[in-house]
Amino acid sequence: MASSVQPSLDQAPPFSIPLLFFLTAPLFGVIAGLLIFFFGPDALVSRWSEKTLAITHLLTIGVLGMLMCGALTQILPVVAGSPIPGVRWVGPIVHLLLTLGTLLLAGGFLSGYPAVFIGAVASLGVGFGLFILVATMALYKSWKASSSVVAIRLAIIGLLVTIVIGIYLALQFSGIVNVRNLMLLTNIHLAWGFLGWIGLLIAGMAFQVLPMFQMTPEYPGWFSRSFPIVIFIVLSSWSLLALFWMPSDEAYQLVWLIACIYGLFVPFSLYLQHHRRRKVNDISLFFWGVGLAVLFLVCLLYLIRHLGLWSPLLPPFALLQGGLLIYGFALSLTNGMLYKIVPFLAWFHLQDRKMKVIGVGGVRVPNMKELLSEPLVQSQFGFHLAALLVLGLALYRPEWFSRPFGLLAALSSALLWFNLYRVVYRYRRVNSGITNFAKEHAR
Amino acid sequence: MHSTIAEKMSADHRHCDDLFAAAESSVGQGEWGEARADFSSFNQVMEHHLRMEEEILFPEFEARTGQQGGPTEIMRGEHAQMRDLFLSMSEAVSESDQSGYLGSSETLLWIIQQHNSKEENILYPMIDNMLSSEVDLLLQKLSQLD
Repeated sequence: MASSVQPSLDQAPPFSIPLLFFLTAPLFGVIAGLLIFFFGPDALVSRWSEKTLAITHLLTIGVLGMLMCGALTQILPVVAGSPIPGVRWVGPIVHLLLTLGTLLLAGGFLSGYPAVFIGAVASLGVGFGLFILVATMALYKSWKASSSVVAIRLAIIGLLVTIVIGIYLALQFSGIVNVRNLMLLTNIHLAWGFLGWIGLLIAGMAFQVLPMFQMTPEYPGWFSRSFPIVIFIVLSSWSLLALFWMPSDEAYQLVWLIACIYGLFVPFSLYLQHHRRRKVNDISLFFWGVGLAVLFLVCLLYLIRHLGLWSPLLPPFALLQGGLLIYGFALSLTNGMLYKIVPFLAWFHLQDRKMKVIGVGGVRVPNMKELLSEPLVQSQFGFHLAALLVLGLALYRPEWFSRPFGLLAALSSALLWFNLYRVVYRYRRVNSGITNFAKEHAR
Repeated sequence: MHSTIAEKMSADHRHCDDLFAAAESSVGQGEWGEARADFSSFNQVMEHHLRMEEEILFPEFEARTGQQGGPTEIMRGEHAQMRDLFLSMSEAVSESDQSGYLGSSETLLWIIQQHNSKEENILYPMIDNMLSSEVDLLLQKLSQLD
C-alpha cells in the first residue's frame, strides 16, 4: 500500500532567506568590535558593566543568534527531513525583529532608557518566539529522530529558556520588575545560552556534518544519543536546585560536571577527524580546530577553578570564560561554517536555475572554491586568530590591549562580510548571465 | 549479503565515498598518474550507482506511486548536477588542473552527501517498505546491472 505521505525532497529555502541572516551577522560583529575600540578598557573590565553587556549581546544575538537561525533554515530540511513552514515570510520577519531587537537591546544597555529595553523585549520576544514556533513544528514532523534531531530539539528548548530568562532580566533593567536573584538568574541565563542553546546546536550539527562533509566515522551511537540528553538534564537540575533548594555554590558543582562532559566532545571530535577519509585540509578545518581547542581550554579552566587552583594572576573567570566561548569557540566554528555554506548555496541555486532555464552546457557555473577568494579567506583567518590572541592579552591588560582587540575584531568581521558579499556579487552576475543566455537563445 | 535495498545502496554510497576520498587525495598531492586512475574508478562506480537508481529503483517506485514528479524527480535532477560536475572534474584531471579539480570535487561532495542523506533517511526505507514483497528480486536485478 503506497504511503500517501510523500515527503518533498526539494525543501531548500530560497537563497535569499539564509543569506539575510548570514550577511547581517558579520555587520553586528563589526559594530561590536568598533564599540570595544571606542570604549577601550571599560568594555572588558567587568561582566556587569553596561558596555560589556551591550557588546556581549551584539555578539550573542546579533552574530551568533542570527547565524544559528539562518543555518537552521537551511539545515532542518537536510537533517530533519522537514522544512521550516512558511519560511519565505517567517524568515524575513524573524530577521527584521532580531536585527531591531539586538540594536534596541544594546541601545538599552548603553542609554539606560526603560522604553528602549521594552522595545528590545518586544522585538526579540516576538522574533525568537516566532522562530522557536516554526522550528519546533519542523522538528516534530521529522521522519527520523536521529541524534542530531534530538540535540537540535533540546537546543531549541535551550533557546526558549534563555530568551524567557533574558526577557525577565531585561525587564529588571527597565525598572518594571525587581529580580530577586539577579546574579544567579544571569548565570542561569548565560549557561542556558551557551551550554543549552549554542553548545547543543553545534553538537547536533557536528554529529551530522563531520561524517558527511569530512567523511569521519560516525560519532559513537551511545555518545551522540546521550550527550545532548545528559547535558540537558544536568543543566536543568542545576538551574532548579540553585533557584529553589541549594546554595548556589553547592549547586555550581553541577556546572563543573557539564564542563567535563563538553570537554569530552573535543577528544571524540579530534579522534574522528584523525580517522577521516578525506585528507585535504582547508581553512574551515582550521577554524574548527581553533574552536575545539578553545572549548577544551575553557573546560580546563573550569577544572582549575573547581580544584581551587584559580590564581589571582589570571583574568576574572567570568570574563575569560565568556570571551573565549563567544569569540574563540562559537565565532570560530561559525566563521568556518559560513565559508562552506554560502558558496555551496550560491552554486546550488545557480546550477538549479541554469538546468531549468538553459539545460546542460550554455553558461558555466563557478564551483564552490571559485566563488571565494582563497587569499582573502586566509587573511580573514589571520585577522581572527590575531584578534583571539589579543583578546587573551586584553583580558589581562585591558588598558593596553582592548582597543587593538576591538580594531582587529572589527576588521576580521568586516573582511568576513566582504568575502561573503563577494560570493553574492558573483552569484548575481552569473545569474544575470543565465537570464541573458536564455533570452538570446529563445529568439 | 545485503537483505534490504537500503543496506545495499547505503553500502554502495560508502564505497563511492572511499573512492572519492582516494581520488581527491591523489589530486591534492599532485600525483597525476594515480589521480587519473583513481578518478576513473570513482567515476565508473558512481555512474553505475546512479544507473541502478535511474534504471531500476526509481522506475519501480514511480510505477507504484503513479508519480513522475515526486521525490525521484528531485533525485534525478541532482544526478544531472553531479554528472555536470563529473565533466568538470574529468577535464581538470586531463589538464592536471589541481585547483579546478578540488573546487569541483568539494562541490560534488556537498551535493552527494546531502543527496545520500535524503536517500538513506527517506527514500530507500520507503522503497523497502513499499516494495517489501519484491525486495529479493530487486536486489537480484541490481546486482545483475552491468
